[in-house]
Amino acid sequence: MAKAFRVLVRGRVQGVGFRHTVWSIAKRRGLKGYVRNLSDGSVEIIVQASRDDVEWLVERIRNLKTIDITDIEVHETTVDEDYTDFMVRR
Amino acid sequence: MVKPSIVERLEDIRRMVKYYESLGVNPLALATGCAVKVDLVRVVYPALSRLRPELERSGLEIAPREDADIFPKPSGGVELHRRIYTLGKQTNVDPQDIARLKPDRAIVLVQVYQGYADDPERFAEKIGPVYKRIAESHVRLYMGKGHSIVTPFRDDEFMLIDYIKLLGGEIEGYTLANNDTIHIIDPTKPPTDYKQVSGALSNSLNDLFVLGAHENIRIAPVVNAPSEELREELYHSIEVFAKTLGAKVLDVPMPGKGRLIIGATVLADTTRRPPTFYDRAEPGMKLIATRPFGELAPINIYLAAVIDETIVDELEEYGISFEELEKAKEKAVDYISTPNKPAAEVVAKHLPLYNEEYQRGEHIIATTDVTGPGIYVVWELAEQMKAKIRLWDIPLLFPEYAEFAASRFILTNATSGTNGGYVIVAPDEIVDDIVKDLHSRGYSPVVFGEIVGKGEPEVIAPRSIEKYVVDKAILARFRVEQQ
Repeated sequence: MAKAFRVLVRGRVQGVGFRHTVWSIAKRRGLKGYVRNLSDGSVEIIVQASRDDVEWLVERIRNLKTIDITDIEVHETTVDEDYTDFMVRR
Repeated sequence: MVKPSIVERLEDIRRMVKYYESLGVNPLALATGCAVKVDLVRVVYPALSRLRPELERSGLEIAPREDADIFPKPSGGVELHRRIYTLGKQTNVDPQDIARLKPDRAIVLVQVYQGYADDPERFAEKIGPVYKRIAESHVRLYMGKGHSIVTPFRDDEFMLIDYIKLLGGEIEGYTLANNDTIHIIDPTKPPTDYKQVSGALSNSLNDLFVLGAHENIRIAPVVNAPSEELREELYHSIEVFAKTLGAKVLDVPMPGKGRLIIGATVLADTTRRPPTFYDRAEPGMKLIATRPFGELAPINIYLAAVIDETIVDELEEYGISFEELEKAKEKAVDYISTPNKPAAEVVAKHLPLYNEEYQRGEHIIATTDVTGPGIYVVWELAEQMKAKIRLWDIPLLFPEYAEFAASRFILTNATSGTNGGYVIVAPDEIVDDIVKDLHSRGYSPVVFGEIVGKGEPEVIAPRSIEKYVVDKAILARFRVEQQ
C-alpha cells in the first residue's frame, strides 16, 4: 500500500476536455497517478505527490477557464501500487 | 502575468465556445482529444467481425479498414441514393426499397450515442439490426467505407447510407468514394465562416486526392445545425466550395438532427491506377512530403490557452508571443481549409493509366496523407512496403510550436494534422519532376527520406523526432539515430 491524494472535482467536468487538461498539467509537473471520469459525473484524480504539489495542482485546476467547477475535495488515501506515470483512465 | 488585451481576446473566444455549446458541440473538448469518432480498433472492427459471418451469408460484405472505397468506373457512371435509418431493433430499414434500388456498394456514416460507443457489444446492439435488415433485401452489397462518430445526445443517433449503383458499360478508370465529418475547424470563428466548410470538405476529399483521383468530383453533403438559417448558410458555403473545384453538389436528404455537423460523402474519378504498388518498393526510392506537416500544433496550443491562461506566460517565456501564436494558428487554419487538388494532379500525372502496367522509373509507388497519426504514417508505409526507411528530416510547418506543444503535453504527437499534405514514395528518376510540379502549383515539397532496405519494416528517424513526439507507443516504432 502506498500513500496518495484523492482529488474529487465536481461540476460540469465531463465531456469538456477536463481530463486531458489535468493530465497535461500533471505531466508538466512530473506528477504520478491518474485522472478518470466517475459515473456520477465527477472526475477523480489520484496523485502520488507531496502536499505542496497537490495544492499546486488544485490551484491550477481552480483557475481553469471554461470549465465550471462547483467543488473540489482533497483527501489522503492509500493505493495498491506506486505509479510511474500520470495517465488518463477510461 | 497575461496582458489585459490578451485576456480580453481569450474571453471573446470563450464566448464563441459558449455559442458552439449551444449548437451541441464543445470545441475545446474536441481539441483536447475527447472522443469524436468511435474507436475503430477497440470497438468498430470487433463489433463488425461478430456480425460479418451472418451478413456475408446474405450477400452483404463489409470492407476491411480502408481510407477510401475504390471501384472500376463504368462508362455509364454511377448513381448515389441516400437513405437515413434509425438504429437498434426498431430500425426503419425497408429491405424492399433496397431490393428495388439494387445498389452495388454503400458508404456508411453512423452516429451513435456515447453510451454505446465504448464497447463492441453495445455498439453491435445499435448497428447489428440495421445491417441485418439490409441483408434481408438479398442484394449483393459491398459496404466499402464506414465512418462512425459519437454524439452526447440520445436522440441524435442515425445511420446514413449512400448507396452507389454502377450504371454499366465499358470500364474506363476508377471511381473513389469517401465520407468524413467534423464539427468545427476553427472555434475562434463562427460556424458560417467559409473556412469551416472548406476545411471539412477538403478533409473528406483528401483521401481521394491522395490517390490521384480529382476528376468529376461529386459532393453529397452531410450538414446539420440547430437552425434552418445556419443550415442554409452552411449549404451555401458548400456550393461556393464546390464551384472552386468545379465539383457537383448532389441533392440528397440530411439526417435532420439538430447538432452541428459538417461533412460529406465525396466521389471522384480517375483514369489512372491508384498508387498502391507497395511490392514494387526498392532501396533508393525517395520519400517526398508535398509540404511540411503538423497543422494542429498552433491550433491546439491556442485552444489550450483558452482553458489555461498560464500557457500564454509559458509560451512567452519560450520566446513566442500570443500575437505570433495567433498568426500561426491562422496560417494553420488556412492550410487545413485549402483543398489538396493540385497535389492530386501531380500524383495522377505520375501514375499508370488504368489499363497499363506499372513502369519502374516512371511511376509513383505509394502515397499517404499526413493526418491524425502525423509522422507515424511513415511507419505504416514501411509496413505496407515491407521496407526499411531512413528519414533525414521531420518536415514541420511550425517546428517551434510543435516542440512546445509536445514538451507541455498539449499534444503527445505534435506532428499530426488535418487535411494534411502527402508523403509520396517515388523512384529517383521522377523525384525532381514531382518536386518541380509541386513547386509550380504553390507547394513547398521536401525530400525527407529514402528506402534503404527491404524485409522487416523499420524506420530510422533523426533525433529531432523526440522533440515533437512524446507518445511512447509511437516513438517505439522508430529507431532514433543517436548522433
